[in-house]
Amino acid sequence: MTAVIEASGLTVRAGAATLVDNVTLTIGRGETIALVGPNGAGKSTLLRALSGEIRPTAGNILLRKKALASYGPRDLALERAVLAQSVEVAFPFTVAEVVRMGAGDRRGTFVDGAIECALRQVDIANLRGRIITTLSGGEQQRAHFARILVQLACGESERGPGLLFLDEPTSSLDLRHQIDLLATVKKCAARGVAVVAVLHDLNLASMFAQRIVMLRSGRVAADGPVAQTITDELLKRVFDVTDAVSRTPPAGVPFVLPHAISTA
Amino acid sequence: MTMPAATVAQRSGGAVRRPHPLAVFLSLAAIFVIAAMLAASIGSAGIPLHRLAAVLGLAQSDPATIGRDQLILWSIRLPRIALAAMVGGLLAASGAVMQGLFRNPLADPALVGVSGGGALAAAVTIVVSDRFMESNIFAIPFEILPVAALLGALLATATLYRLATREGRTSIAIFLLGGLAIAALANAAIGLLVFLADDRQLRDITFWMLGSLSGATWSKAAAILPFFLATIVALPLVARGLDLLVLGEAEAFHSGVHVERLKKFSILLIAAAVGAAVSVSGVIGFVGIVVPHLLRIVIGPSHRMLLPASVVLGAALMVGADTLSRTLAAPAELPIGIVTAVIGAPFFLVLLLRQRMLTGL
Repeated sequence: MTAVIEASGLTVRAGAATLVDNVTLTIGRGETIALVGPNGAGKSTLLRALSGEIRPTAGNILLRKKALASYGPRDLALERAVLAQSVEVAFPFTVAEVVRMGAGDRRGTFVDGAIECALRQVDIANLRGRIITTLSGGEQQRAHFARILVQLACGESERGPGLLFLDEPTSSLDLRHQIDLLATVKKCAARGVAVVAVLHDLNLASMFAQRIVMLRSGRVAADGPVAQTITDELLKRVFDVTDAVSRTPPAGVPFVLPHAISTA
Repeated sequence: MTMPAATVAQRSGGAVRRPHPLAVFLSLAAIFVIAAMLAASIGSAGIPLHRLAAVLGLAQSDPATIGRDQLILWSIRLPRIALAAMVGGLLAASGAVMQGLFRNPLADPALVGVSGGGALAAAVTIVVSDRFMESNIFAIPFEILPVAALLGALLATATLYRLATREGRTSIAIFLLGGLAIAALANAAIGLLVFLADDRQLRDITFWMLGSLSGATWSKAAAILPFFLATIVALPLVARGLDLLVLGEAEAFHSGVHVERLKKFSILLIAAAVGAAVSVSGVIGFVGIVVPHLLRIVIGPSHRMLLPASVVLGAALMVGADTLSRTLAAPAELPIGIVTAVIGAPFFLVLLLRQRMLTGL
């Protein structure tokens, strides 16, 4: 497995608080990693450090064997894309214009093709001419996901499969689009894109990821395949919940476990 | 909940179509030419349109009037049109850049004290240089006023940005209120200078406070021409970055924008454009709000189009407003700042109310 990112001794402090504490993590090509943990565990901060948005207080991050800090923003944008939890567009851009932003200042048939493909993949091709701020939160989130897919495709055409960071990508999506998004992300991973996603829903995390990284108080509490990390014992230690795994709820309480419907 | 509450009409509204860039620029160019021709023709010494063509060598000239027409056109009307066009273009472009930088359509250099900072620096320069040089009024080299105004505008913009932005987020409330405070402070300082100034200095300072294009000369136009050209060259350099900045600073960075560099360059650009405009015309408000906003409705918010289009429409609007200021109270002249405020202030209020409806400002 080729390592895309190697982080060691990663620490992020803000004032007196230590948000990320001595995290060592290697992310390989084509891996799907779910970053889980309770509120305030440092998931988003770790994601921001790994994506180059914030400089860690201590520790090293290597992106393809080169110091992350040595990449300029333009260069970095070819290597990795980031989907934020929520994005507010300040001016009345259309969906198509926002999705095109993923291509930066590139033009041409490749970009047009990537945009069409992304619009269809996130199921908003019919909304392309609409002003993005008039759409629902979920539709906006899908438009931004399409923008990220275009950025990823542009980077991939120049540098090969890169990295995709997602910060709670499913928080405003309905069930069907949650599953669609994760299926699209998995397809990217199959091409070799390394994916790190902050997810709150452990069911979704288990369905989506090969590997779960559990954070608590800024430290890695567990790191491994789903079967070894989504366990009663670990969930109790990390999330303070008991008997969480594989227990049906009391009679009368519905239990929703969504699966993708086959559209064939 | 950060999503603007979309009305039913907006949600069911169909796709938005943008006009072709070429059509946009041809229309804007036509508007500018019409405004310039009217400005050249209308005035206390009128040059009817058919004689205007003759002066420009496009028609048979009448020897009885050609000499007078030429004198009026070349030494009075044209320098004023050139100056108005450049000032309007600079103010509208700097408004558009500022709105992109602060991610807010309410930003205007005059409103938030950037013009005030420039005017203050110019006023200080007038008084100080006059005091220390102790010579006639022509001793103030005209070229140093744009530079002084630029430095004042730069200081105001940078201060405002520092005040309003924390950890990549710009607070709209602090931005507007902080801008108000900077504008008030600059005004107070100018007031103090007025108090200290002698009669001759007072005349010059009053000019900055009211905003006027009277007394336009070719040498004034020449003094801001380098700033105008530099702005035109610099606009495309910030357009792509500003387009991505609408997503927020973090997202712009993720998309490949060197955000810190973009912010510094934009601030410098705003300061240079506003400083140059203020140094020859004083404080003229609202052009920077009205022009970009009208254009966003018609051509969309993409800065690649918006910035150059703002220059052209800003130029046309300022030439038109200046013509009004010359003719409405003829033979006296209304300060042009009053004309633009009468047009712009209601516009600003409508914009403010709309934004409150959408985002709960």
